[in-house]
Amino acid sequence: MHITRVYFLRTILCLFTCGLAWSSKAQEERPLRPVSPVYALTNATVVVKPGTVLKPATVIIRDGLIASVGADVTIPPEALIIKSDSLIIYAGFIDGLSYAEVKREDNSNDKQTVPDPGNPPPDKAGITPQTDVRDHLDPNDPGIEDLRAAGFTTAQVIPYGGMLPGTASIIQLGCPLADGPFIVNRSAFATAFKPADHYYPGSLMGVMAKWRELYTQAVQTHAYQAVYASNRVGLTRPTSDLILESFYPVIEKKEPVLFKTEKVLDVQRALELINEFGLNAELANVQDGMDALEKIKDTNTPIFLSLDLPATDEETYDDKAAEIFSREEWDALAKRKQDAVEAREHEAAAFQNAGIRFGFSTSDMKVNEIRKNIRRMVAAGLSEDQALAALTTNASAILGLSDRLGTVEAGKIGNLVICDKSYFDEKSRVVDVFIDGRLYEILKSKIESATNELSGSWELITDTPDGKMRNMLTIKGAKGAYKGEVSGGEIMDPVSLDNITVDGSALRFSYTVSYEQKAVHVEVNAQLSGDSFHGELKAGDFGTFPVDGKKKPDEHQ
Amino acid sequence: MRRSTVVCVLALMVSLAGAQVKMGNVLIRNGTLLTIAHGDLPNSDVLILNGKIARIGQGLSAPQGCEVIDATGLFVMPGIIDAHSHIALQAINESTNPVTSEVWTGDVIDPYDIAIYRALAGGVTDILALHGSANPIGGQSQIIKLRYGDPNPADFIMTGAPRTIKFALGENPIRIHGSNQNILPRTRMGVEFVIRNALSEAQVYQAKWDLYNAEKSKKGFRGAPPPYSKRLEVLADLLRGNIILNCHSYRADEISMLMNVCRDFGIKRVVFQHANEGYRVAPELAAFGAMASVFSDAWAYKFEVYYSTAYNAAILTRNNVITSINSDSDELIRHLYHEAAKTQKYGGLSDLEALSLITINPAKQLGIDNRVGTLEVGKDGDIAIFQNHPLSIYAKPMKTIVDGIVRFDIDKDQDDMRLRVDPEKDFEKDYEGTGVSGRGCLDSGTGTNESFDSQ
Repeated sequence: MHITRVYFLRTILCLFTCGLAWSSKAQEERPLRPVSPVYALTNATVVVKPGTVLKPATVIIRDGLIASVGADVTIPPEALIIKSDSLIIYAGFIDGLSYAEVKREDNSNDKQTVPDPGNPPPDKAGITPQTDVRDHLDPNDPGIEDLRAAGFTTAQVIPYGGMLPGTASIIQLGCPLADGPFIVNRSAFATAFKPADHYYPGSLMGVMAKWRELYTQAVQTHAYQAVYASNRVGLTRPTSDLILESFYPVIEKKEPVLFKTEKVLDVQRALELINEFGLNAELANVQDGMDALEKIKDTNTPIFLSLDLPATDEETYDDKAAEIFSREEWDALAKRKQDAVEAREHEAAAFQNAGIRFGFSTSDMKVNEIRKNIRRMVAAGLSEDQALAALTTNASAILGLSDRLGTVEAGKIGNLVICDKSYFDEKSRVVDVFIDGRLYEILKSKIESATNELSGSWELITDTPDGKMRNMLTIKGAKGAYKGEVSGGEIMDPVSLDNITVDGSALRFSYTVSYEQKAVHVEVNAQLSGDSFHGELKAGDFGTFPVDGKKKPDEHQ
Repeated sequence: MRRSTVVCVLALMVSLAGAQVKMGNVLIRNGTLLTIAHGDLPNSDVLILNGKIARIGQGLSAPQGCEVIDATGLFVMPGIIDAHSHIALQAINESTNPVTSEVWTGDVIDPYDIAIYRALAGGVTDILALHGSANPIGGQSQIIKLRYGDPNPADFIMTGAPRTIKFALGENPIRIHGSNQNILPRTRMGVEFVIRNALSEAQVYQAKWDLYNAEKSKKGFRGAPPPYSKRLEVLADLLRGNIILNCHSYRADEISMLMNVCRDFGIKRVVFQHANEGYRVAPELAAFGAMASVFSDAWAYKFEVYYSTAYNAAILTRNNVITSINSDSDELIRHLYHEAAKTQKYGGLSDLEALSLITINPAKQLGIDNRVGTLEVGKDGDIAIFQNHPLSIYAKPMKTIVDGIVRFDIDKDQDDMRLRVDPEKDFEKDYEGTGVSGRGCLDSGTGTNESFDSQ
């Protein structure tokens, strides 16, 4: 077809002008539940539990459970064999307290003022013990990918809230809600020493007083319910109070109280309440527990230590500092701070040496610091076996799951962590994770996402004989499920991509624009390298032109 | 008065109760003892065993291994008692409601507060850690011993000491509740109403529970107890005489008002805090049996604190009101001995009268005069040792002892006496945090959970 220069330019312009989003019908997002195959992990080093290592050994996973573990295990003919020579297999790690998957309520639009701050509605006071975390879970929370990459497969989660946020649940990370991620439906009654902002209770004293009052009232109404139930004639009927009723499983010793206590004085307060009311309880996310260590040991209180550690960056002695401190004073202060950091690093070892059984928790910390912090604790004296116990057997014992989780033994739930070297080695990487016998390829997805991070905004520059055409390409989603659209330049309404694929560094995408009632199919083939690509853009019958893509920096980074 | 047998038995009971708290042995030798109870004893010794004063005399010998302090040329007095302080607390006010008798400062003791060490450096051994003055009826407070170095908050509690509660009159509750939140009280009339109303409710509550308790033991009884309210239960305890009432107040009219309220409800044990116009109603206070805990010379920082005088403590003393001088500040607590000395210039109080203002008198107000406040056998080993007489301008605390353990020693005082350092704070912020902050009735405690903004 002979195209004049002017016609050519107009055509190209129009191709990009058409607003009709003639993309193929969007595929319905309905990921199919994978049929859980049988896996055989052969020839691996299996850390059955801390201190027991089988090498070499094969692990067979079937129906979501560990079917068998051993050197001479028969591999079923239908098994998917994963050659695991040089890989190390641990039981999946258990997080004693996390907000993974928990949705935070958006209260920013809640402008209702409370006329009497001394008697606020319970939700403003942070008193919502009837909240069940199972109603607030989102298994698509992207944050859990980092948790799995650190080896965690199971977590005890609680709702966001105030002093009485609700009940906890123990979940398998990432398991869709329809498949029932709950290992334990109601695992604990959560509480924290968190005053309400500007409402009663507005201080730590108020929180303690309110706690005691609610518990005492609950004991009272619970006792009366029994009296009423035995013979209801002639008695005033008991009033129903959801808040007080939430305490009943605690009173009946069916649910322990989970105290979220990072700081030592909060730990002391928790121990006071536990003693006063004879509570079954767990301490969670303890960062700073050294001064309460004796009491914790004497009372045998179950405890999850936080994996969060203070940073070791040092302050510089600059002119501003010199105005306040002499060099001597500065050095003395720096030494005390350094000693405090080291004391925190050594805390887990101190608990180990005192013979206290503890687990680990990760709420309130940067999840990508988990592995580094475990290494810091090990360097400060925590044995690797103890660290592993805290992540597996101790945690499962505290949570009452020893029969089902925490070791790589036949009959246990198929939760595994597979590393290319010892988990405690700085250079080792978590390769795969199994949750309920379902495989999550951690390393592969990390590599792909690191080198070819497609999602984001790209500037698309097409080099035509009439000059450079500039458009915006926006890609969303993750590997295997990218979506995108082209916009800007002469395109009035964004046009969705028909498809977009990445195979190694080969990037292909296509879209259709409408021009003069005709659909013109545009295809791009490019070589991707990091945050740019270069290739060819074919515009229907109009020809093929060089095209470049440059990634724009993410706004939220 | 020889009550030494009674005192010894009490001491034994208390020492058994507080068995898990460290007690010490120390012999203080050859000092001038200002006993407060039995005059001044030159060149004398005090032997403290297991935290209690075991012997007072001359030429005493110490058991094997007992620490010996040479007090030659030094003055030995009972540890100073501050009857109004907010140090060592993570939170001071539960200011969201005008009546908060259910809260207790004993739940928020902060053993790491550097202000504790500085108070020890001023010779103070025992304090009343008070709730703040935001509410007409505030929270229960706690008498604590300054056992700095012990990281366990529960160990600070002086076991066996009477319970106390804080009330507040005047501008503070009116501003915090009435002005700021538009709720009762908005005037002094409102303050009186809130107090009378709460105490009346407590009477009704108590009557209901008395009825239930009488009925429930009868055969065939089936019924529900009345709803439990910790707030009203505490106020009922106050009406029964089990709790000492400490009332923040300045003006003579409101002091009279509260005495009327106490009379109407049968409350007998009351200590007026600050009471800057206490001199105007001194005879009435004495007749009622009320006591007063005052500043030496602080006034004019609010309108209600206008008509004051530095002679206040002296006038009250001369009118037979048991008076103490307090600090209500983490700065003043460091030199209460000087504050007491001011009454010698303004009022001509004798050495004994002036020293009583910071020893036996606050002990009586706190109901712990059987334990502390004088140097007598059987009492707690809480001692302050001074270079030069404590009422002299040249006075310098050298050692402060609590339960026979030296908690402050000027020869062992380092630049940085903090028990703990927060590894996440940068130096400047940490340094700022160790300054003197006032720490008065409306300030924040050491914790960051205090939602109340300092007024």
